[in-house]
Amino acid sequence: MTSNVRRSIEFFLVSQYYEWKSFLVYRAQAVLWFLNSSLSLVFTFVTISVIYTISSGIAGWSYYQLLLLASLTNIVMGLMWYIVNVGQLTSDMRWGRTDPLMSKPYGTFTLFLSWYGWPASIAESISSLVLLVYAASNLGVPTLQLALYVPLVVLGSFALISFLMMLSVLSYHLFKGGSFMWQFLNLMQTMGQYPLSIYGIGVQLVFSLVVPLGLASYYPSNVLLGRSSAEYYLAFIAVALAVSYVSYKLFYRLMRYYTSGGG
Amino acid sequence: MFESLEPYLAIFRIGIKDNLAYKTDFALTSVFRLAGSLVMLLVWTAIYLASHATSIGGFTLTAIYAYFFLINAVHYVIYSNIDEFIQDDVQSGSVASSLIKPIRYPLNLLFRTLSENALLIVVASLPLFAIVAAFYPLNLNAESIALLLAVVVIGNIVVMSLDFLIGSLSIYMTNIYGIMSVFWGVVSLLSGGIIPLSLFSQQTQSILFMLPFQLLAYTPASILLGTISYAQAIHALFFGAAWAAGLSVFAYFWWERSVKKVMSAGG
Repeated sequence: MTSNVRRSIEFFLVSQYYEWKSFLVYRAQAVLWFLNSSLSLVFTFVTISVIYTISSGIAGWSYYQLLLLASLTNIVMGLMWYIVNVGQLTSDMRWGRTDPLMSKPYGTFTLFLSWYGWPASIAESISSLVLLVYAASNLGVPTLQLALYVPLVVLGSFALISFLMMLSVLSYHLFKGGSFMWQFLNLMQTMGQYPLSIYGIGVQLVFSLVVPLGLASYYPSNVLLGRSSAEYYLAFIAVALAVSYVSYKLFYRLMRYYTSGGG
Repeated sequence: MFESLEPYLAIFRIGIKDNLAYKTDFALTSVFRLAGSLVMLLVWTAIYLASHATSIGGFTLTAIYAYFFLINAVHYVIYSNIDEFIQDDVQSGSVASSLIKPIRYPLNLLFRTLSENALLIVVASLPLFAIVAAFYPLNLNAESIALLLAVVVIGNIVVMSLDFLIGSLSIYMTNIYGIMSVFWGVVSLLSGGIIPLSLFSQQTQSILFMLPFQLLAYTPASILLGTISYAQAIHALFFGAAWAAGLSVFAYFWWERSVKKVMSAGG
């Protein structure tokens, strides 16, 4: 078990190295992609600044608190794209491009995570981290809350990525395509930049249990802002682990019925 | 005249069939695109409720709802995918075979993108217009409709010329997804696609209204909402027409130069 995990991590890291090498072959393109990934920072900053200039903003959320939540969402989404480009995965399954990859002696989950990332997206996470530090320093977030927050983001992000991996395979089974995934992820990112509470209880439940975007950004941000208790913290960990486990199991169950889309 | 259009109409028909090949995927993509408007409605509802204001930046809450539905509806009317088509053709090598066919390649691209426009107008724009018309008194009279049509025509010339210019870069760079994403990302902000331009400061507005991007979202939506005067709309059209003329002439000469550099990258 331990050696399997170690082998998978090693394979993931080696794949990252080659992914970066191939990404940096076209340097001008790479710069543009980094620039593009950093744009979400500009959009977030401009939108929230305009909102708080012309109004008192969203009830219960100050300017810096909303900046913090939005930057957290962008960090998580950037990480998600960095690890796995789910739209591309579905498209490659459709054309049989995943078949040679699946012949390697690693778990399919590890193989897809290792090969379907998008390096430029890390720029989104890094630039958003700058915004996060700016907002957190203006809010005076204590170090303890920051230390409590980091494991939650890692756990929530893993739940989100596991869910999206499962969704991309499901999409392949159902529609033999996944172009909608890009629009779906854009929508998720826009929604995640604002407090889930404004969408009503139904959407809040969907984005916590079904589509775990809330687990990756909104709920951890409450911990960072000091709006949580020990029960909240433990409940979060339990739900995130449950969502990750169910998504992971469903992914493998769906992969059992995988048939190549072409070649 | 009509006989010579026959091959292009065939391209148009094939384009529609292509887009509908994966119907569920297409339907879900459209649904998620439209859902973006709903998110902004909920965000702005929360902002209005917290501010206890009936109007912010000249927009009532209902007007803001209508604005976000309308800019999505307008987006598919003033729309082009030419840059991606050129890039795909360059990467697959089919640009070479397209150039030797007895049809004009730029017109081939135009009809391919028009097939997407037509489909998106039917499945997205018309339902959105109908929804807005049901809850908001749109400014629909002879003058506003004439202005809107002019904006749509000039806006399409602007967007297609820009798309053509960006797409032509793939002849030199092969992969232009990065440029496309950066450019259209910035345009969505400058066109009023994220925030109505009237909510920016006066200084920023004066710059934004000199650019052609306002024609892609803010101006057509505002004409329909009646939130800008006819004089303002004509002013926007004047700037837009000048940009459209300049960009289309530049795109023509740029293409004449670029086409000589085409190399087939595949088969």
